[in-house]
Amino acid sequence: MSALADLRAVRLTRRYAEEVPIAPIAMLIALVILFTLSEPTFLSTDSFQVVAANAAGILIFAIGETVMILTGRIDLSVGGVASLATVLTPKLIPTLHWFALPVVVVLFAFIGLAQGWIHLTLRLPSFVVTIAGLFIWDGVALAITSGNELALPFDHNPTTWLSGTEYTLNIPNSVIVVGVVLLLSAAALRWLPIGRRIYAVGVSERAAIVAGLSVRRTVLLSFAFSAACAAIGGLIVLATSNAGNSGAADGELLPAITAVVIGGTAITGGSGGLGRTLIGALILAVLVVGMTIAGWAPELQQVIYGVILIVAVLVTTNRQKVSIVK
Amino acid sequence: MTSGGIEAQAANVSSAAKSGALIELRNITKRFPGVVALNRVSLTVGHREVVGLVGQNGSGKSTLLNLLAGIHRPDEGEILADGAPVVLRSPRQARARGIGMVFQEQSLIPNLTVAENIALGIEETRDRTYGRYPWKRMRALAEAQLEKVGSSISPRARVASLSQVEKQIVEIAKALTAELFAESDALLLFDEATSTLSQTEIEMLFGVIGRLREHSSVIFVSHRLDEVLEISDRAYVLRDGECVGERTRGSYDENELFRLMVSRESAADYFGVDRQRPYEPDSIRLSVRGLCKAGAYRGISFELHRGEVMGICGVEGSGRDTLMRTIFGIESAEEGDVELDGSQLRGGHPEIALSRGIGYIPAERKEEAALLDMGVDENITISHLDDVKRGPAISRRKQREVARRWVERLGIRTPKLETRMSALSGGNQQKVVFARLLLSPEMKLLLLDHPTRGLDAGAKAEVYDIIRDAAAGGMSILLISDALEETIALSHTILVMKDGAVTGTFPAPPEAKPSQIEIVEKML
Repeated sequence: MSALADLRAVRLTRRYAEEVPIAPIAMLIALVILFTLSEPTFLSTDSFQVVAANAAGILIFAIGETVMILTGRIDLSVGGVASLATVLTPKLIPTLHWFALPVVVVLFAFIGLAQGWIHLTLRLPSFVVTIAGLFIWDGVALAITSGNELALPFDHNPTTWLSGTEYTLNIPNSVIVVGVVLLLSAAALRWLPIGRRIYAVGVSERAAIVAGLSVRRTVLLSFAFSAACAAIGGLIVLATSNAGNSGAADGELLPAITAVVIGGTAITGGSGGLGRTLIGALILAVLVVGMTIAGWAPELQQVIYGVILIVAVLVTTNRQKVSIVK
Repeated sequence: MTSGGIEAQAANVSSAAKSGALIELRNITKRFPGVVALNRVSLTVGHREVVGLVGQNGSGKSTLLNLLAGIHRPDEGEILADGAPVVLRSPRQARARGIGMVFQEQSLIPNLTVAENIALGIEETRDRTYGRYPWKRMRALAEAQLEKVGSSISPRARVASLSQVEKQIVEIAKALTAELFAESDALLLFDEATSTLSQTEIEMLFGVIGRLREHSSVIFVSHRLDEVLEISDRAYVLRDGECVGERTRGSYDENELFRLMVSRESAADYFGVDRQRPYEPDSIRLSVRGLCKAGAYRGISFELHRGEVMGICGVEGSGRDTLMRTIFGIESAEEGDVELDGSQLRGGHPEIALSRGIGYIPAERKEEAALLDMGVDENITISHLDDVKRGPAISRRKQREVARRWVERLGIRTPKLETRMSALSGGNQQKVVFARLLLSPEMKLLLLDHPTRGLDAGAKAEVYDIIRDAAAGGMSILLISDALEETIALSHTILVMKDGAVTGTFPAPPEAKPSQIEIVEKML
């Protein structure tokens, strides 16, 4: 009993953001062992590359989502935003060439900013504004394409390097890009004042206001960042499928939120972090790739996926902090 | 079910003990982490008697009611109903004993009708056969309950559409459903029921309580002595969790109860009145002119000088806390202006107020001040991150240095600098919040809203020291506190507010402090 109290005391002397996410890591290792026992070739360079590329595709959305969730908000528009990026980029490439890529990312940061502005100024919940965003951006994409697919040019395609099949030092390029985004944003969350403000707003918005922090600027930045991440995600989707269309990236939203939650970041905001989200994305990727490599019955994979999700959230989230679950 | 035997026992005894006490508490002790909320308190309530309970905030009044309502359970001692010991495990069990609570914070569900609210949780109004919603039965019940308090509120009305006092009456009608279950008389508990009501509404409520006396007993809790004096047959005085006096109607006056309520030890010593330094009457720090906000305050004008502590006295709802929040910029005024050191202060922006050297310590420490899930060091530096940066990034080393300096200076007791705020006691959390403001050399004005709320005597004394030191160092301070003795002792000047307007100003130099009675007169 007192040992338990001691353990609790030790936990409290460390910031939650800096706690090692033991449960999610254990879950990840358990899954890797499970699939290796089921199919030893799971531990090969090939499958590592596949898992890494798969995880990167989830992670790029989950990074932005983590920041939004840390502020106590949520971004449900990432799929629509990314889908719009898949059709806008092919439109811009003929005139801007490779320069279209950074332009799209910056442009989409402004789209996020607009969503944040609506959320703050009209005082609408973030999930309402962003779910409306999901419809609107998908709709805009549909209007641009008139329902057709927009194919990328065969030569001088500036997105090819991002497709899952291009490597640098045996690492898929998309993994490198997402890794860089992850490192930069994790560093910002940990060391820059904006990172501190994001956590403070999530822990208690009222206390953040009384402490003189600009909640408005912090929230706007989170919206912009999440949309920019979604735009990069859209570019990766585009590069992988070589064509863009409305709804192309709609399926990316749920895995992103799932990765954040499995990592142990509290959906109520203020506690968690990107390290946890990385583990969460890896768990999902290992699950999807592992089931395929292990050759589990394809018709049952979704059921297993769902069951394991429940188990994963059960063991990885810090449910001590949540008194009421709804 | 162990209570089955006890209930049977109680039924046997009840007829014999009808003439005795309805409810009796014997040597009740209740501890919460870090505090003894009630220490061997005994109390009896007779049949059809109105018992008053007075005490300052934190004296244990609410804890006592919560024990009777089945929300908390005593650590020691026993509760007797009609002479037989009972265990109250839940509000439901308390109700089965005829005990109903009229909550301070309203317990009604605003988007339901009056009838639904009153019938909520009463099995008898459920249709067991078909699971239908028995509107008729619920309305009949609600009508009967409202009748008892002489009210004609429609059971069909939605609670959200009712006025404050109507809601209070519905609360009473709901609490009175306890009568339906009791074999004996019901006991109604009123926890600060008047705090949100106007004077005429309070009189209405007292009329209702007068009617209640014909068929049930009442415990009436308030920190307003005049109310307790008016309504109670008998009154108990609580201080720091102990019962320090019991008086029957006619055998007490307001002064005597006041003396019982406040600490016996020399008040001047405790508050360090001898350490009060004169302020600088020639240097105006804050000037407030004609400030108005509809529904909160009107025509507020005053001047606050360098090194001056000004206490704002007034009851809940007098507008004092909204005034303070306006100066900090969380609320905005509709008319009038505020000047700091001779230049206008733009309202509505806490971050601007803070950058101009105005700091605010809110009454709700856990919701508005402490970032509970963050470290002590992060909490101390959060308002002045620029001071702990190296280049664009926060330097952990600088942050630790600043935090360590203030942890030592204010004697903050924490295992580590990065310990989470939630692990600290209330007093130490409050010192962290003070450190957050004091660390800025530009801090000029502190707005303190109940800075000692919920703190034990030792922690309060430490906060008094911080306030004295800050004022002696030239900071100006506006202070709100529910403890009148505390406000009087700490302040150079006292401003009294009532219903949104200033009704009196008292100079309070160490040698000539105004009396509590003088101030209370202006408050009520």
